[in-house]
Amino acid sequence: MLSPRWSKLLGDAAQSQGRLAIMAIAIAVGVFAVAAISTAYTILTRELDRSYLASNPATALIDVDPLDAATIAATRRQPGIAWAESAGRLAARVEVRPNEWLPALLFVVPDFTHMRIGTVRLESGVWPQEGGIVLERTALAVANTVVGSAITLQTQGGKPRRLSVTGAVHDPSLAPAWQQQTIYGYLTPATMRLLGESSDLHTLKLIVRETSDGAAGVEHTVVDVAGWLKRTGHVVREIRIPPPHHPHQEQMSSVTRMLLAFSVLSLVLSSVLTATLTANLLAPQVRQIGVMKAIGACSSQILGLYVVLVAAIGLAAVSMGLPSGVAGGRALALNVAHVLNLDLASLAVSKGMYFGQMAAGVGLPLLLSLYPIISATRRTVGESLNDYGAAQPASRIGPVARCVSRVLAHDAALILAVRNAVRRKARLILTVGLLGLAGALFITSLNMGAAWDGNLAIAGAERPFEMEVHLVRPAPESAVIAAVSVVRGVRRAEPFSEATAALARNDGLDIVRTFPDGGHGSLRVNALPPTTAFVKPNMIDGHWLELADNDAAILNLQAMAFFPGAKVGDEIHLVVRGRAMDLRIAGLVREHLTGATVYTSQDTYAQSMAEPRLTGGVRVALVASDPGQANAVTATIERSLQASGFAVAQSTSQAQIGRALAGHLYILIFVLIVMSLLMALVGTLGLASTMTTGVLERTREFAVMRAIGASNAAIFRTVIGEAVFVGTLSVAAAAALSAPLTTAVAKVVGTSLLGPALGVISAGAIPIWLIIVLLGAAAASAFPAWTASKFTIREALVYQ
Amino acid sequence: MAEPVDVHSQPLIALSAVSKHYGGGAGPIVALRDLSLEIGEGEFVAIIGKSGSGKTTLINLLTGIDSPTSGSIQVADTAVHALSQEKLSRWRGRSIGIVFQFFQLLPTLTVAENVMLPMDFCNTFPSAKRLRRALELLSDMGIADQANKLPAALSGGQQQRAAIARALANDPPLIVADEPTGNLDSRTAAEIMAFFAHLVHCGKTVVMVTHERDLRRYFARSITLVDGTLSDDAAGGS
Repeated sequence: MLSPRWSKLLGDAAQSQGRLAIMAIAIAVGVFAVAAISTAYTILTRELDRSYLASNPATALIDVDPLDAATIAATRRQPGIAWAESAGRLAARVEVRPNEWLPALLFVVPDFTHMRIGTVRLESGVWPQEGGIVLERTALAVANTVVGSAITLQTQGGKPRRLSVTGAVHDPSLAPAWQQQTIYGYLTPATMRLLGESSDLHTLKLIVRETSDGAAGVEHTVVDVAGWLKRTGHVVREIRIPPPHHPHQEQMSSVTRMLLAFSVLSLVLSSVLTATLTANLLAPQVRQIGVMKAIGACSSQILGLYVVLVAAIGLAAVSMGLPSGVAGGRALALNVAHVLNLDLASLAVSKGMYFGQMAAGVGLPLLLSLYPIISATRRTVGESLNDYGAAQPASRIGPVARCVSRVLAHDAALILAVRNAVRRKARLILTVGLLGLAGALFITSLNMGAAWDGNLAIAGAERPFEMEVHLVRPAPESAVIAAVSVVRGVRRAEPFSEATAALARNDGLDIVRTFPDGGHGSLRVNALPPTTAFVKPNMIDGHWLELADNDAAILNLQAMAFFPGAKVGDEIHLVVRGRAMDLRIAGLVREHLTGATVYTSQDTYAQSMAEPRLTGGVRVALVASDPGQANAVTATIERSLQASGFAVAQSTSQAQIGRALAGHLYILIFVLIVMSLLMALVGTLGLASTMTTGVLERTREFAVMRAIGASNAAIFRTVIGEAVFVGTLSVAAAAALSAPLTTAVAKVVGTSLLGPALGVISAGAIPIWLIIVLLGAAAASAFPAWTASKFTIREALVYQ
Repeated sequence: MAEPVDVHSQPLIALSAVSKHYGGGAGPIVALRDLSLEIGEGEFVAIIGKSGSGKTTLINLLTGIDSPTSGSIQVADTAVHALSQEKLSRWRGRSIGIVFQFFQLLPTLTVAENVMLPMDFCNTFPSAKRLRRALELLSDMGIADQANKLPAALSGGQQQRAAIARALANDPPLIVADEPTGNLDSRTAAEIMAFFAHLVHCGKTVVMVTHERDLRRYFARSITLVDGTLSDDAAGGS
């Protein structure tokens, strides 16, 4: 037979099923959040590396000329080299719709069946023969094509050609094509000939044996190989040593760590709510505890009862939250993997993680609940027996209550609601805190979205042109501008030249740290007229380019990472297209959503490249900027340039760049919103519990109200009004908390992505949150209000 | 039921210069002022006084439910005023049976479980024998047939009988009751008082707060409190 004390516990539990269910749900929500994010974190950190390394990415790539079989074989015998093979890479463009071209990056592979470095996996179709191409799987939709169909492709030196798409491959080293708005294709040297390009390959891909010196050892080996190539009569143009991890790894790690911090916070909040609910659960038990102590129970015996109860609730919560959290985490991991273009070989998580979360799910709420349990069980018998629930009557009205009372001077029910809300201050602070934090996270999420959109707008304002046209070869500046300016719809045209840059080294080698896509991690030189109207960055030090400057460079903050410690006035030494460029830093600028860029004048650039009065391309502002018209004008500009004898390599519209940027942050924002809603659920549960407890505690007061003439509606309004007042206070708390939280989140995500737009507060965030909270408050208090309005005076007055 | 024994009047309870002050919004309230008295074993004592005279405070101090601001309280060999809360609980469970005006049965336990609860907390009887003892006590109180019901299913008189059975569960020498008949009709009140008298007859000491004049005939001694001081201490129901 169960002993009476445990019978009592079971009986109490049966009578408080609703409240215990709320406790279990609250903890389950916290466990769910932690389990989901930690599962996603575990899977992604493991699989990101595994997936990337499974492709055996090149340790280094050397652009060398000539590159024949003998050179490759000799390279494989060089010290420290594990393997070497040849490859080619060149820029092109693909017509995705009539007159709409997107940039393409072509990888030339001599033998698809024997690739050993930077391998790609054929997912559908067959490897391409002459006249065929396989596309990266994410590029099919971007190119608006399918396997078995054909695309129109044009290289910089050739004419548009139709190529059949023979298959789709997965290349884990590349960001998704939709994200970069670039089409990745793989073809043979023979197809290159068809496209009007040379079939010679110029890139030597290397796998360097691991050394104890890490990155320095790799560079040393690669420099030795480059030196050997030079000594044996080869021309070494550029060396690329990509960082030994996925291009998005650091970004993903910091974001998942931040999400993990939020999920832990939600578990802590759930545990705090559990502690509150435990206190609420104990509130009507206090007199019974007093009776039990009066008839001989020790504090420790009663403590044991409630500790077991909370632990049991924790276990129930873990059994609900953990499996669903792990499932949610796997779904999140799959989603992020899709964004990062990864395949997840395994969705497994370790047993240690399960046990850790079980311990946290049971232990943390228990730990925080100890305080109210100990408080209730440590009260003297006299205090317990004299406990009638409601707080001691206050001897004065607080300033908030007084202020609100003045506003509500004619509605006694609402005045009572406000004064009841501030009666139990600790409970009020906790409920407001729970809802406030949830609201702060929600507002932060929308602020981030607004900041992101704001930065897209700022980035657009910093680059007020609609399109840029890259020429195959530098051409006379005045002729190019003239050819473009005559096109109807062109408002303004400016010359520009752009090229990747390497830091100059004493050995004369040209080493860059870009990833295989050539974009991530690169440093670019951008040459433009000092009087440009198309680049308007925010100067933060020094001055912008001036006509008299002949060696001035303006660096954006992203470029400063390549020159640690550099300041205005310092000299920098670059190698661009094999030529030295010695520049002096004249100014620093803050730019948004651009790569690392060194700005210099067209004249300085032309002088360094020995191309006087030539330009590499033209930027164009249009009279009308809608995408449909822009495509038509672009086609006309290209025809005009071709007619003047200038071959177009690529045209990029700002709309394409916008599409490339959009979507980078939306998954993060979505996850933050989901988390804030989970926390809001926890907060609303807390509010519901607080209201239920408040109503129970004040049953006698409601009876007195009824006895002196209060209608059901007045009592209903009192309870609902209290919840709405608490909810409104929480919105104020949320608004105040959201500012530091937004800054902290932006720090993790990267202020370069969010920048000054962080000051922009999402206009809709606070009103939306207010509506959510008010609906939640009404829902949370509806049942207690209904209960309170249904008490008869007799029932209420005998209630103990 | 306990057998009748000879009544001895050696002091079971000794209060010496006991005062109790409460803090309040309008300044400190003196509930008891410098009160000294003795109660012998086997006495049936009424504590009488108007509302606010300090009756409940006095029995709260006797039972260790509350502690004195000054003075000492000795119950048998125990200096009650010097015990910690934890020791007080254990001492109270074994040494005193408390009967409340509003019964204070735990609503989620059956009547029998309520009676077994003190035995469970104080481990005074082997667990296998607790139910039998509870049923015996309930049988003594004439409500054995209600043993498996929840308190809410019982009448007020039956609940108070169950509460008395619970007070006797650990066979304490002292029973303290705070207006135990205050919530009962006169017939039931008379039955309850008769039972308390029987307990005294069996050697228990009973201290009871009451303000009902009709019941004073049951008491051997009446202590009257006025404004927290001893106003009268007389034999019989005064």
